Amino acid sequence: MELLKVEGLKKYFHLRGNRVVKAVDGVTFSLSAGEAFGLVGESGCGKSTVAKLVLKLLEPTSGRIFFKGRDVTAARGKELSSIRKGLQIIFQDPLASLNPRMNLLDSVGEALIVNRIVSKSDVKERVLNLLQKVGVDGEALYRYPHEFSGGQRQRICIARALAVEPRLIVADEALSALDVSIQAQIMNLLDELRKDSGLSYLFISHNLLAVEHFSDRVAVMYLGKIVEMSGTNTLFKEPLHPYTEALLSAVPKPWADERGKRIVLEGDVPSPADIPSGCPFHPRCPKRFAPCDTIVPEFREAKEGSFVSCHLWG
Amino acid sequence: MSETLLSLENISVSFPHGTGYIKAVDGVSFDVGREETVGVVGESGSGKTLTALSIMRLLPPNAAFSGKTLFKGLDISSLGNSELQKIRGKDISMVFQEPMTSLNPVLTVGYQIAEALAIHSGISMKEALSEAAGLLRRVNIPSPESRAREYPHQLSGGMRQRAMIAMAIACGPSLIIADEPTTALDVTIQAQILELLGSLKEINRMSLLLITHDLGIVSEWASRVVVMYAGRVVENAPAKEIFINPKHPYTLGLIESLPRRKGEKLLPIPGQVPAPDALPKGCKFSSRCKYVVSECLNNEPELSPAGSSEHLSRCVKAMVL
Repeated sequence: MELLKVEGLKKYFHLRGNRVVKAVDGVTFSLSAGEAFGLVGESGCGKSTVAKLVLKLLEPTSGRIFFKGRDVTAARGKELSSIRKGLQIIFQDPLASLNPRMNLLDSVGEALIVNRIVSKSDVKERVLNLLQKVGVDGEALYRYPHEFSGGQRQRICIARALAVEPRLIVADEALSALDVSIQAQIMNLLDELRKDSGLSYLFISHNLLAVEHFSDRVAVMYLGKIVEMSGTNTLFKEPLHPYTEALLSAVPKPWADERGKRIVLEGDVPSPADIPSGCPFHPRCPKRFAPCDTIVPEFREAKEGSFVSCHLWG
Repeated sequence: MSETLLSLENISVSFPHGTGYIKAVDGVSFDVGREETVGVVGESGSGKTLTALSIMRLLPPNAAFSGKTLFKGLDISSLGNSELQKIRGKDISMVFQEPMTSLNPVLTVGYQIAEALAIHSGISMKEALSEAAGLLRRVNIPSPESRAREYPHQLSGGMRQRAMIAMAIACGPSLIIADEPTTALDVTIQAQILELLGSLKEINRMSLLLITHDLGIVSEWASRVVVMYAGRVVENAPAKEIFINPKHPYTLGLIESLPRRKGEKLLPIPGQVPAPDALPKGCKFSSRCKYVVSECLNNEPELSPAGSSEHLSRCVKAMVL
């Protein structure tokens, strides 16, 4: 079943002097129940804007988002809060997403009280239950965010997200601020939660090794658009888009036998306020040819289940 | 190994804490050979950055330093500030993680590069400024003459880091210390910067001390790897060997934490790094180690050869891992 469906999503930010930043420019994908969908790309590609749009923390310029068949984009008030119960987010920096003046019990308990999930007298018991699920010691109930390590804080944010029993968790760079050994702990925790309660994830990250490990399907974004989307194994083994190819080859790998030929791209990512004509990747593309600088390639199915926007696959 | 260029001998860095001191770096020793790239890896709080800063004595003012730093045989840890100033940026230079905070926002990029040249090689500022553009060209910055007249905020993150590297190589140093030089950059830009550092190192015949948390980077670029945990060196081995045959449970744990095969459960290191004022008594890793035995709890093992004289480990079980 389709849990989340995003159609032609656009978010433009208007700057002074009639300049427009096309942060998200026509993104379409869907995610089924129990699935982990990875969204990768470099800074400025629009992946975090997609996260905020999905939760309606930002209003889209155009396009529609459906969660369990309900239109998120049109929802207001009670309808919106009821949708958001099924839809939670964890951010990169757990310290910035926890209130420094609220202890653990209040931070996690607030979600339960606001959404009237349990009666006030049962809050403590439920919080303890949630903490056990994410592996935080229940003794710590009255401690404040600064008293925990980064990994513990991220666990607390996960417990808070789980409080409303969501169906989908948007993880926006949720591992990026953590050390390698702690990243592995959190990834295992997210995996277990998925197996135990059938959670789905929109897993947004620039860490390609983590995305490969964690996701069933992956979409690669570049300058506000999805340039390639397919099953994780296919995408990592046989990337179709030259950008995906370069991105994957740029990841430093600890094991010599897993390294392929490195493709070093020229230049920087152009500003999203000044997107190149034709294929937005053409100025940096090692495989560009005649139509690339004038004609925008269509996003089409090149092989079964593999979508790409590139003239090489036209 | 080639001839030694830099030798750290028993480096410790302590900070006042309560009535006493706590050691953030404790007895670190390792060598960097001429034209060698040594990678130092470790997680936050392992002391890798403080070790790097201590080489040029750029430590915070309240830090207490002890130990010996030999550079080309000269004990630079005993030098006064004015003598050290002649070495900083000339024989040894540094590249930091965040170029925006290491560059002066109110001076042009060209001026900042020229400044180092004018101070160390005694040429006039005018000559230095024209040389600065040449240096920007060497780090592959397009239209270097006009870029030299720009301010740091006008450059992208990748270009700022290139400018930092131009500054670092300006006076032809024999050692560059790069502390997380690509951590703030995107992966395709990271690849560009590492390729650049690697090729400059070859052309200028420099040594590189590469501090990073990324095991992939050290494996690809370093010939030797020093692994730090809780302010100590726990393993020091050739890069080719350490990923295949680690001899310390912490190194093994870091490697096993990395996603490798899809669908395989990751094997994280349990728990977290203990606070520097609450380290276990014996081996500092014993509280998280799955190979722990009773002797680990009382005595801290020495860093000693495990299998070969080139492969050092601080673990009593090194040979059975």
